[in-house]
Amino acid sequence: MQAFFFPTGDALRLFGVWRGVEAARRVWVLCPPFAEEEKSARRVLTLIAQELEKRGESSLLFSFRGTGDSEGDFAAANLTAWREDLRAARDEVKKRAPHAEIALLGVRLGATLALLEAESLGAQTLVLIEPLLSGRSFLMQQSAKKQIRAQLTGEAEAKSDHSPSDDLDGWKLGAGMKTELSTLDLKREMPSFSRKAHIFQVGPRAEVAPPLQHFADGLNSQARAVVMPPFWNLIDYSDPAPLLDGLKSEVFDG
Amino acid sequence: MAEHALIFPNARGENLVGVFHEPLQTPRAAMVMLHGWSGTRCGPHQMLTRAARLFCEHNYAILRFDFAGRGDSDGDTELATLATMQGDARAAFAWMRAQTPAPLLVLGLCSGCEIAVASVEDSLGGAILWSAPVFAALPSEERAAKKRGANLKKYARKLLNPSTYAKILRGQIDTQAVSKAMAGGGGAASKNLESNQPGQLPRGFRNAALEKWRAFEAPRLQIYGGADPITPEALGWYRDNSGREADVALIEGANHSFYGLDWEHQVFERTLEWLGKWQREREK
Repeated sequence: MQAFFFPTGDALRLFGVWRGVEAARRVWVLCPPFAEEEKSARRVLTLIAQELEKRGESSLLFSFRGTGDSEGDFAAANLTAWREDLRAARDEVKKRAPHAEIALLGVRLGATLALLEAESLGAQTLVLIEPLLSGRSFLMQQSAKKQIRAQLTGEAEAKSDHSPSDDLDGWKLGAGMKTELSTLDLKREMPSFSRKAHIFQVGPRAEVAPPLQHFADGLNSQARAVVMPPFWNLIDYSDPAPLLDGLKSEVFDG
Repeated sequence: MAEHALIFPNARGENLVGVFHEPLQTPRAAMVMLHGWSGTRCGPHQMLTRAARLFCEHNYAILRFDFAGRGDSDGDTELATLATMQGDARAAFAWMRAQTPAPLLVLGLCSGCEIAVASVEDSLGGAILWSAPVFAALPSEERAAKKRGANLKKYARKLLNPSTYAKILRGQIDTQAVSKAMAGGGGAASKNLESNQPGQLPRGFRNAALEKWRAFEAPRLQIYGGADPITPEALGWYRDNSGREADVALIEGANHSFYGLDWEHQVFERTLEWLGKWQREREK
């Protein structure tokens, strides 16, 4: 395992953890979800990286600019810059393992960004875990969650120099990010990926929800339901065995 | 200022991933930050990363790292306890002491404060505790019942509100989390039994740690959210179980993890003020 910073095209440094050998046949870029969801998802992504390492594959788990330990101001970040960050991660992988195939695995917004960039990054394998289909719905859910928590616990509205909708539980949402998230709609504008993607729904339902099934159909891919708590939303640790089993049988063993 | 990604081993040989924030000048003090039970070295809403960057601008050297079984570090999540985390914290103290002779402080967030309590050494210059819970609380029926009672009253009041029903029906309320809060569950309490079994504390851990904490005489700061339900009980516990009175700051209206930009800002400002006072007292 190596922990390091690697550069973006505009001279920021992104934090990354490399697991596995540099001579691996396939290297995975692991794309975390949005901001606070990254905190809860980080361990699951590490466990996926460890599983890959056991199989002789390598991975780079990184943080987008303005999140985790990566440089940059979250308030100035936007989806365009995060797509550039994915490119920087791919470049770092190519520097370390020039002959390896690139595989992308993303969770939530990380999955969405991975899909948007998969074709241009030359990814041979693409795994999307609960991809975010609509940025507008995501923002509405975040706002509702905050209001409901305040209502249930009696906490005050945090005072801020910014509009309450710009303070996403301690994350300052910049105008660029807000605009790009609001217009992000994979159901309306389906990106193209010339190979089959592996799509996982994670939650209490054993059947894939119609919107995700429709999305998978549009990608000419199959979606699979994994019954386990939505780990990116949890405060406590949750056993990711069902997801790891699904990844092994559907992707890693294939 | 420079930020260095690093890996260092704990006493069990597991690799811990961290970031060292190195100030431009000789540091006034060094600080090891300890994250919460199921968190990472960055903290909720990146609070520990942001704090480290700010404090480093004020010339403090900072080490943040993931405990074994957490974040990017090696180790088994299920086997982590306050005792394994205490060992990790001590490895971090040793790493930091090898970088600088500056006086060493420890900063904990939520359960990270329990690790701070368990890890204090005479040579530590002080402790900063953000949202410190009661140390190594047991899942006793008495505690659970008390918490259940208080939560039930609170949530029953909310559930009488028709708009809450509408939100539950629309799937906007995480009813699982609410049920958990009502049941008084969650957190690390079940891991605090002393049994010598893997994933639980070794026998005698709590008393040994408490004895050291009670004898610890260095200055300490405690910050709590005014709307955090743990605040009254935790403040009482620390008043009764500490060898020295803490400086206490309450952030009005704030929740447990200070989920708001202004609350986070207030926590940082109060901490920097206290660090200034701490340094002036050392220089006397």
